[in-house]
Amino acid sequence: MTAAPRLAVTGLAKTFGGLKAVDGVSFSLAAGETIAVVGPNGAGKSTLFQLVNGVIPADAGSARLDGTELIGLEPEAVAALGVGRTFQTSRVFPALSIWDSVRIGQTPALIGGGRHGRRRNPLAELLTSLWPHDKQQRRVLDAKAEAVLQLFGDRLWPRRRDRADSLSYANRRRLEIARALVGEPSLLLLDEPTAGMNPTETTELAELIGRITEERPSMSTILVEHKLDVVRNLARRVVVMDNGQVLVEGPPDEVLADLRVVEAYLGKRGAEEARAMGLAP
Amino acid sequence: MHQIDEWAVTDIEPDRRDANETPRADDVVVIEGVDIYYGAVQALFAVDLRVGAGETVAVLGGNASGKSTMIKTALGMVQPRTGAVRVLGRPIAGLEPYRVIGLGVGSIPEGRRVFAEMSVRENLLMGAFVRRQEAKATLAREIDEAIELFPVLQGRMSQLAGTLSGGEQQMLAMARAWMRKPRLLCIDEPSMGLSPLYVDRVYEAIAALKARGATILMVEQSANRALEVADRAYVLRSGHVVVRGRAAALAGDPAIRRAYLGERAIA
Amino acid sequence: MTDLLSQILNGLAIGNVYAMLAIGFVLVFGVANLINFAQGSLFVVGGYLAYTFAVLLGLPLALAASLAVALTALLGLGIDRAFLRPLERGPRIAPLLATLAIAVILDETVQLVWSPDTKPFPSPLASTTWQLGNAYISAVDLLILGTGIATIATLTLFLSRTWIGRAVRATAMDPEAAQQMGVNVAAMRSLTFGIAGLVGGIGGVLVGFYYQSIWPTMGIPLGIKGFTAALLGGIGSIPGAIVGGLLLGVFEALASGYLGSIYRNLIAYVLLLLVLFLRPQGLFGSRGLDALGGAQAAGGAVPTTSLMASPFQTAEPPAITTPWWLAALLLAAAATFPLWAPDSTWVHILGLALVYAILAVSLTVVAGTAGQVSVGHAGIWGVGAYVAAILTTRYWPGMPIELTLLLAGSAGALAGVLAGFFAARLSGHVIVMATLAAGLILYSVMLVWIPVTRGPMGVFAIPPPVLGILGGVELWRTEQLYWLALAVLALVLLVASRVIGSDVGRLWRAVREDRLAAVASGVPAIRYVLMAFAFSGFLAGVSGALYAHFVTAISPGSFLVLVSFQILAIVVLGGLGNLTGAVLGAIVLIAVTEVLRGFGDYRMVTYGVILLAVIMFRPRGLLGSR
Repeated sequence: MTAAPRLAVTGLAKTFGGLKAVDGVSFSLAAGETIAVVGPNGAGKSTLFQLVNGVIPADAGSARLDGTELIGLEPEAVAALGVGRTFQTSRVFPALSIWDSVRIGQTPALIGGGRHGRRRNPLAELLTSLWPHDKQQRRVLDAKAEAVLQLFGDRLWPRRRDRADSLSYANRRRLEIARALVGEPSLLLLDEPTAGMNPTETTELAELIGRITEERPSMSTILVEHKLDVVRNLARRVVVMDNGQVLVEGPPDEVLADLRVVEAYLGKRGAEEARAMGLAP
Repeated sequence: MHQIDEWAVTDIEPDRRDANETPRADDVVVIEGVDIYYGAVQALFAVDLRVGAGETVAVLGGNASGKSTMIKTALGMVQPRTGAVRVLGRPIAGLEPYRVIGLGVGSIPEGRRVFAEMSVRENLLMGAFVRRQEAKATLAREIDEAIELFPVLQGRMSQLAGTLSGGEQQMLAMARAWMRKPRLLCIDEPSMGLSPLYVDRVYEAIAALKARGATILMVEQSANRALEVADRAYVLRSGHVVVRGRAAALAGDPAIRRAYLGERAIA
Repeated sequence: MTDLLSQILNGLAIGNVYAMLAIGFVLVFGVANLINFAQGSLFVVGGYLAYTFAVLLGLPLALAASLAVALTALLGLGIDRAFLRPLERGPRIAPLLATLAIAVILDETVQLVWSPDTKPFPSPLASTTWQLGNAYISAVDLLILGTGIATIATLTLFLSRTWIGRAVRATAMDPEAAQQMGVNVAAMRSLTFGIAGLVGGIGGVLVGFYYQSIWPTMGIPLGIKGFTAALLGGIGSIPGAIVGGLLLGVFEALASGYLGSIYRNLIAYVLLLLVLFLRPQGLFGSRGLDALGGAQAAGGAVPTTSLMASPFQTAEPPAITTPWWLAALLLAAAATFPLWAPDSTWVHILGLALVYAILAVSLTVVAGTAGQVSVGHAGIWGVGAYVAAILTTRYWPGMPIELTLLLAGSAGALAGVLAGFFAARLSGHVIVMATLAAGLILYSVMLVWIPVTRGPMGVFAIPPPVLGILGGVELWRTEQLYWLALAVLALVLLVASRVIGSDVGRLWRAVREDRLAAVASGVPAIRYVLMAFAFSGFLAGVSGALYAHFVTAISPGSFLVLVSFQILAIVVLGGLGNLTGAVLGAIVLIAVTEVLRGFGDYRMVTYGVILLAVIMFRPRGLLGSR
């Protein structure tokens, strides 16, 4: 007897000008589970995120979050239902302060919508912005924003008044994660969180992500990541994509030793030779 | 087993290092001690690379290893902060990319980049753009030769390139670069996003170009396919050259697997 | 039936001209990724040069036209080299604002050189008309049709059959790939601007033939129509541009034939908004992601959608903050100004400047804070002015000003939402086009809705405002009006700074900075864009009502696009999104130009030059953008 999945993706497909970027992808994810999606360049991993998150309309297929269909919703509606995400190349709000950037991640809680009840009336929102009245809600949101920034030690909190574009590259990626986390997502999509980081920074961030997923037992996480060491540390299940399709899925050590995976990365003959040398099954 | 120091270069056959890596006067590409930055992010760290006349050299590595930056460096599309780049005997510092092409370089860009709203024929003619002073008859003959070399283009000369499939576009991009009659051919990730069938065709075409005497610098993720056609190869990880040597010696070596899949892959 | 066919033939003739304009847009958009607002002005210059050579210098018409065309081509090329290419590394909005400034400078220079009057344009042929089956066609229409077709055919041949032509197209499709074919993309860019100027020159001459006259203000409507045609064709496709131009020409000819020629321009503007709203990718294109900053942004290639961000520079200098003591000092000086001003003319001028300052605050909120650059604000402002004028002259002469401002503001908010409704789904440069069209539609309504607005005559004898809280005091003295404007400005500044500093302001800036990241964080971007337009429209309406009371007579001519442009110049000068900058910019620019009223003719050129200079040398404004 298994519980209903947090996310159930079935038959998701998207074609760009003759190229099948995502070609009938299906997988599911339980509440609290962390999985990794890996695969070579152009395998369709980032497009998969864009489809689930509503940034790109899917051609076919379905993605249900706790039973609610996400495909066909606008990205802001998907976010309001509890999907947080980061981007492959970091997308911070350059001119906003770190503090303001993180507060943006709380928008659904602030204005309603999705799992946060009725959306507030825009006119009322404009008028009350002159005399903000809900001090209690503000204190709660401020405290949550501070707690999330504090997760990153002295990387973000002491710089909270600085502009986001004054941050180093690695800190921008951290800020993006903070912005996604502060919305208390039930599903967190991390698109190559350690891209462009050096080995020390990579290890540090991987440890942090591991801690965050442990501290939030009901949050599910999908990680697109190229650094397979990171994948092994964080995910108990790996989905391998190639040519827009799911090649294989299973526990990391098993999957990454799979001949088909080695083939996807090294090519067919490379895999054969690796096997001949006893390096692959 | 090779040493584990993460960023040191491993010569796969140390005794051949001088023969392989010492620049010569007639080298087609020489990259020496080049650092490349994109804004604050460093993409290449003091890399060296040479391509001798008539050689096929492959640059390998996983995602984000800096291999595409390597080819952009040779084409003058990124300017090194330190180090020097010579192409066909000429330092290319400060040279616009179109001038580097003018030196005798042909390029097959990553993601094919065919001119979608142009016909196949027009795409081929764009490939021959720097040779536009040559006789019309010569170019017409060479277009016929290109079709022979890339038969998938047969009968589709007036089709818009954007309506071709990904594999067909890759063949067109190769034919287009071939129309340049380059003294150096740069190929960026030829097998990316292609079905296995087309990967085979692409590599057959590369082998055919090589057999016609082309000098090739190629970047590829699918390592062992590239090692089949290459004479020598460089393996990149996080912007550093970590392994280099003859392709024959590199093929199947655990060092490559390590560079792609990480340290624990060896265990 | 006869009528219909004749209308269609006539529409095809002018449609040719639109097709040429559209080709100019498409080419420039392709190689420079820019909507060239000066494209229509190149038409005007081409027409006037031909007029000068033919009528004033007495050259043969063919020679005069050729000379004019050649000079316009050079002008197009020169504009790119001198002003646009240096801005490639600047903020993304800079080249766009520069073409706006250049359009104004060209249009106004034409007025200065050739006077604002309509000039008779020489007709190349006797006014013969032939019967063509059931339809009638004039010799001039045939000539336009023939020249247009010949030009388009030549251009098509050049672009498809020559090495350089192919290289131009390749550069427009994919500059990076073209470069890797050995194409000198910078040279192709110059050539493209030259060609855009060339077709502009030819088009200008043909427009002269078509209307048998030319006038300096035809540049903006022509530019919008050319853009509409390009948009219909999917902005990026030359065959699409030709089809779009012909379609627009026919549509317009039919509309003006059956509804009346007063609707001629209105039809084109409405069509533009409809296309933008219903099918922004045009009839043939597919650009579904443009609203989010384009497919490139979704792929992660573009790191931000902010118009103030530049592709080559990450950090920018912080904006200058006004210290409280300086603000207090300025306020004290402003409050006591009528007491120490040399005479009441000065009080009137500064009072008017304060009214404009409110409008500037309104624009800087939507264009700066929310990043939605509007060039339709004159229309919204006019709505406020008309509501106040009509209510107080016709219905309730003693209506308290508090109520007037509230009603005018609400009407402005509605007009703002209307303009924003079309802009909300769009990004970057296209918003500017959409708001421009919205502003022109509002202007056209003022002109044609005669029972309410009295049309071109306007509303006059607007009574002085009555202050309700002081028990109905009539504010008829100059300094009373001045103090009213100052008090309203102070209130507006207080309200605007509170809203900008609130959660709403933060969300506006998030949508501006990176729309994709904002929606992924759960920000309903369209809602906030509309809220920004509503808020800004309210303030613009308030400013409009004060304006009506200040000048006591208004007409559609008070709410031309040039006013939108003037306010944009003020706001850019002060720094986009900078409230203090908007106020100081308004006071300085309005006061200075009022003082220079003797040089009134040079006023708008001065604005154009100031805007261009600010964009070139200090794109974030004097006080910095926020």
